[in-house]
Amino acid sequence: MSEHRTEGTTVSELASNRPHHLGETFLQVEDLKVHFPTEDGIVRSVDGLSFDLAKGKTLGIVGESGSGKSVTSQAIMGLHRRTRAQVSGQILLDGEDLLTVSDARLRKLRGNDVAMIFQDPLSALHPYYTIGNQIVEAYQVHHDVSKSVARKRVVEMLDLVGIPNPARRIDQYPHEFSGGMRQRAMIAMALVNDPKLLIADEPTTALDVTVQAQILHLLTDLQQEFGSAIIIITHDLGVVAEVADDILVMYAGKSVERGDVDTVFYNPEHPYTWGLLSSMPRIDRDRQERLKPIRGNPPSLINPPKGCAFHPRCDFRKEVNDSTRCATEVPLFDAEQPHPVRCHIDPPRRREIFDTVIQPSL
Amino acid sequence: MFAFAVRRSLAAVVMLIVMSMVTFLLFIASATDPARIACGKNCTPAQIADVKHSLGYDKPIYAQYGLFVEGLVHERNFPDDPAIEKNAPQTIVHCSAPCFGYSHINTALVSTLIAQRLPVSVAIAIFAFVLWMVFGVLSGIVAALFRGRWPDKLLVGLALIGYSFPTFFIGLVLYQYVALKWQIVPVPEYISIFHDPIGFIRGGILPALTLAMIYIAGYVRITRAYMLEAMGEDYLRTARAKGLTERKVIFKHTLRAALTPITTIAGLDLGALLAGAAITETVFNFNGVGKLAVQSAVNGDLPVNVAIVLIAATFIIVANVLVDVLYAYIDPRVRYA
Amino acid sequence: MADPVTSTPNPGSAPTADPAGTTADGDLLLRVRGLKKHFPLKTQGLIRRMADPVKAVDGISFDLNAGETLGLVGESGCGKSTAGRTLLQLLEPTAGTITFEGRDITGVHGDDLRHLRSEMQMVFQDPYGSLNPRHTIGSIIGAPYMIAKTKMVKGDSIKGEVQSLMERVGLNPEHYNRYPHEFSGGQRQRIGIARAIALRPKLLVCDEPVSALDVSIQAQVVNLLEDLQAEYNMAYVFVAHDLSVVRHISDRVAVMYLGKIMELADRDVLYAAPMHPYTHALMSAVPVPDPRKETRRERILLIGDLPSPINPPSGCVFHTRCPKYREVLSENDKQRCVTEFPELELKAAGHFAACHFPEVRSDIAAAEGAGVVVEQQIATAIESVAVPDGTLGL
Ligand SMILES: Nc1ncnc2c1ncn2[C@@H]1O[C@H](COP(=O)(O)OP(=O)(O)OP(=O)(O)O)[C@@H](O)[C@H]1O
Ligand SMILES: Nc1ncnc2c1ncn2[C@@H]1O[C@H](COP(=O)(O)OP(=O)(O)OP(=O)(O)O)[C@@H](O)[C@H]1O
Ligand code: SF4
Ligand SMILES: [Mg+2]
Ligand SMILES: [Mg+2]
Repeated sequence: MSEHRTEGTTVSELASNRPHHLGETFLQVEDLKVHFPTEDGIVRSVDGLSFDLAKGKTLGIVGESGSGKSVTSQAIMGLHRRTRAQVSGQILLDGEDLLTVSDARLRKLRGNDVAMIFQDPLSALHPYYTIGNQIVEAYQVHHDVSKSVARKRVVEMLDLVGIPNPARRIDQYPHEFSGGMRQRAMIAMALVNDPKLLIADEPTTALDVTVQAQILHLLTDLQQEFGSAIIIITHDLGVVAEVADDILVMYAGKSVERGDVDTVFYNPEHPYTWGLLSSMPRIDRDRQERLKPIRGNPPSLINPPKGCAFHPRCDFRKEVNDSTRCATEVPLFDAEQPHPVRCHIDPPRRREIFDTVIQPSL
Repeated sequence: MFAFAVRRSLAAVVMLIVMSMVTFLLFIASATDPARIACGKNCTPAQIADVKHSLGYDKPIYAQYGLFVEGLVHERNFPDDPAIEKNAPQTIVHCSAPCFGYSHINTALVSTLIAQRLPVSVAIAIFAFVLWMVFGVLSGIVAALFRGRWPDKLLVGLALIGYSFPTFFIGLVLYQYVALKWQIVPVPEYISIFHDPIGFIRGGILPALTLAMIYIAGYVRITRAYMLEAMGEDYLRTARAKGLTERKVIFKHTLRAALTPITTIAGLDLGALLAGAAITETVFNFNGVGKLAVQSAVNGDLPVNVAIVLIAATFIIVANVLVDVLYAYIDPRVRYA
Repeated sequence: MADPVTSTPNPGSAPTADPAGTTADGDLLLRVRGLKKHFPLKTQGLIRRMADPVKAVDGISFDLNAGETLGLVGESGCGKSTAGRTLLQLLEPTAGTITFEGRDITGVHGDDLRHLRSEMQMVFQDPYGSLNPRHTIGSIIGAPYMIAKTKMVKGDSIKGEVQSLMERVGLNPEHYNRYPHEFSGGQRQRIGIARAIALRPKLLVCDEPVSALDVSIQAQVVNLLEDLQAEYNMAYVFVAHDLSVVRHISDRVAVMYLGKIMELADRDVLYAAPMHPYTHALMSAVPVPDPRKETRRERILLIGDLPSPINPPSGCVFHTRCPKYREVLSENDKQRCVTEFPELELKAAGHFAACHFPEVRSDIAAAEGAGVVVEQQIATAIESVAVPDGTLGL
């Protein structure tokens, strides 16, 4: 399914080099690139992304619309078509590189070890098959059991995710479910094989707050029960604050900041993260007189800005010792650090700016 | 589901009744005087009036319609004149129900005329249907799976060519070359499939192919479009994410979604095809309903015209109903709409 | 439904309309009383007959002043969009009255309706679907001038007008001849806004105008809406399910549930001291972008799905999911919730709630010290509100 262009390093080299600061690393993404050749040029949707994730932990990925969050998650699932996307780098799942394994092996992992919940539960479910039929299928791909055994399992799962009267509901079609129930059914489908890694791409964006609260509650409960690792992708910082242990902030296909949830919320250091935090209305604070959007427009992914991709919109370039660097030199992102930040401003100065300028105005 | 089917059928019956009235009105009210044609060229006005009377065309339209409808359930006599019945009973034609009328030009009952020809038309239409479904839909699927590569370009190109030639031209070329010149198949003729299946295929292949050609071309494109649409659906991503094999993703999930709308279109097209195979039958000189329709239109054979239009309408309406019901069966969302 | 204001004699129910002079704060622009919109449904059986309708909007009442923003929140399917469309006469109301500038506009037709369209406009949620992909944005934004035919703008001057409008909403006027697909989501939403404000309407219904946008672009659009409101003194009905955005932009907020308004109050009051158990649950469900608060926060999870608007529960429509009903009330009190429909009533100054057992407003209780009789509070509150003009909730 996927294009493999491994760079020189082998799996074992990389695996042994990595500090496991998150405990037992389960997923490790190294220099992931996903490029789409199009008529207008190459779209660099993901351009050198690295992160890792331990068992039982939740990573929140946030970032602007179009920053490559969904493309990343689909790369982990191996869902990019070789004919359309050039995927390179490494995605190690328990030490096994998903970008070089055979198609057959990938299919075995997919849905079994790694499962995914999609944003829009209505379009992600097949309209012509019953909910039960679709989940039974997902179970039978990976378990050689009879239909009736699989059905029993599915009824259990539907019950687990809180669908009332599952034995009857199992034979209904997606359009007979409400939005919240569809998303529960999606979750049941994703969890039916006890995956070790669950990727949720905007699992609650299509739902309203009351249902969102139910679904997030369900996800954290299930994680505690099964100890799976979760990647949750969203642009709602409230959702991340609620469920994530770590946060990865993406901008223009690259990671710009990563840290544990407290660090990113209370001591963020990247100007884009600052912009993100400043631009949202806060229900938990006094009402701001005015919202503060990040100025300018999202970058082109075909001709991304040279140097720091954020520089055309950044208000803090003057804080860099040699401010021409912002437009010429890509800032480094040292994934080994506990709190890496892709910015030319000196770390102490960044903290100072946050404490003195950003924090008070939040 | 059952209620849905029944309701749809009832609606169809109402529609047929309305159709029959409209047809009747249109034809009876048309300028050609059927009595004059039936009587012949050298008739005096008095003779024409006589014929008119004996054919019942002197009655008001609603009465004629009433007789026509009555004939559908009740026996009729032509001419319906007690005097003639007494004097010369042998000249009276009895038409048992359902009676569509009597063609004076062919001196035969309309139902007899049609009953002879309907099997020919239906057999060829279904033959054509099978051809176009198999070749059109399969090629469409292949084209979609190879989107942008040479099989796709080839099939779409061929479809475009097939689409741009008129039916009579395709028919004539096939007839001239395949049958007459190269003699790959015998000269087309209708042989009943129950009588000699091989003979039916050999004799019917050219007309069926001619009839199917434009549909094959259309279906390549429609199927390709629906396949591509279905292939972009989010639920296929879900199917892949489950770990299904690509074969299962395509043959279970994609086809189900893509073929559903095609079923509808195909059903309607078959109905329309049964209704109008005129050109092909004329080209290959098959005595089907299509040819009969052309003849009767040229000759101003009114009763035959009315009957054929009604039969055609019936085919189309019945196809519509079947398609609706079928569609409700395969697309669960429709049942609740 | 007897509504809170029309049930009392009201001398000011038809305030003098003076379109030129309605700039002062507190000028009544829109008055809605007992508005209902029911969608008829057909049964499944052999013979189709009318079944019970979908009660999408089931008797809502509120007032809106010129230049004011009323937020409309509630779960998906509670009837927010339907309410907005019915207000604008895009849907024909089943019952109730809508008074705009003192004139009853319920069910107007023809030229009157066309004239009304230039006074009230709508911004839609989907910035992709609501713009015709085959029209240039110049013609999209210019269309209202053509249709309304009220303002005498012709040929070239339409272009000039449109371009200055584009500039006003932050679009490059040189992009006059471009097509919608050439614009980003935020820019498309600006196009939608430009089209809506072309004729300087007095009322703009915004149906989830920022829900499809990411936070930064959302902030741009919200700011734009606020600037335009200040400039043209437009009133907004702002529909959204993001409660943070609603609090930011609204002056007052109405909370809907199953086609009814459950609570209506001043923004700050509603968020700080909600009285209706449903508002309480709704507020507590909003995730807060602050991990420490987030872990400490107590959350009221609503159980189950929204009941069907075809057969809403008896009595208080919320009782099937109400945490207070389930956990606090005595059997006797419960009986009341199940059988008796709570009207939307004034419970404190400017604060309406439809609940038999509303939360006591902590701020009021605190102000008066312990042991205050709340009824007395409410009585004074009602007096203070019963100003001659009788405006609801100011
Ligand atoms: N198949 C494709 N061909 C070309 N470009 C693509 C393709 N898929 C995605 N992209 C581009 O890659 C970029 C990243 O897309 P992605 O869906 O990952 O964004 P996202 O971060 O998930 O945004 P959102 O928050 O809006 O979901 C976008 O600019 C998108 O247009
Ligand atoms: N044309 C219609 N015919 C029948 N029912 C309808 C129609 N339009 C809306 N409804 C129903 O009316 C109810 C209210 O719908 P509405 O779209 O107003 O909700 P909403 O509050 O805007 O929801 P959302 O937040 O999902 O946009 C729903 O139950 C909906 O199914
Ligand atoms: S590198 Fe420069 S442009 Fe980029 S975020 Fe840091 S200061 Fe801003
Ligand atoms: Mg995405
Ligand atoms: Mg809506």
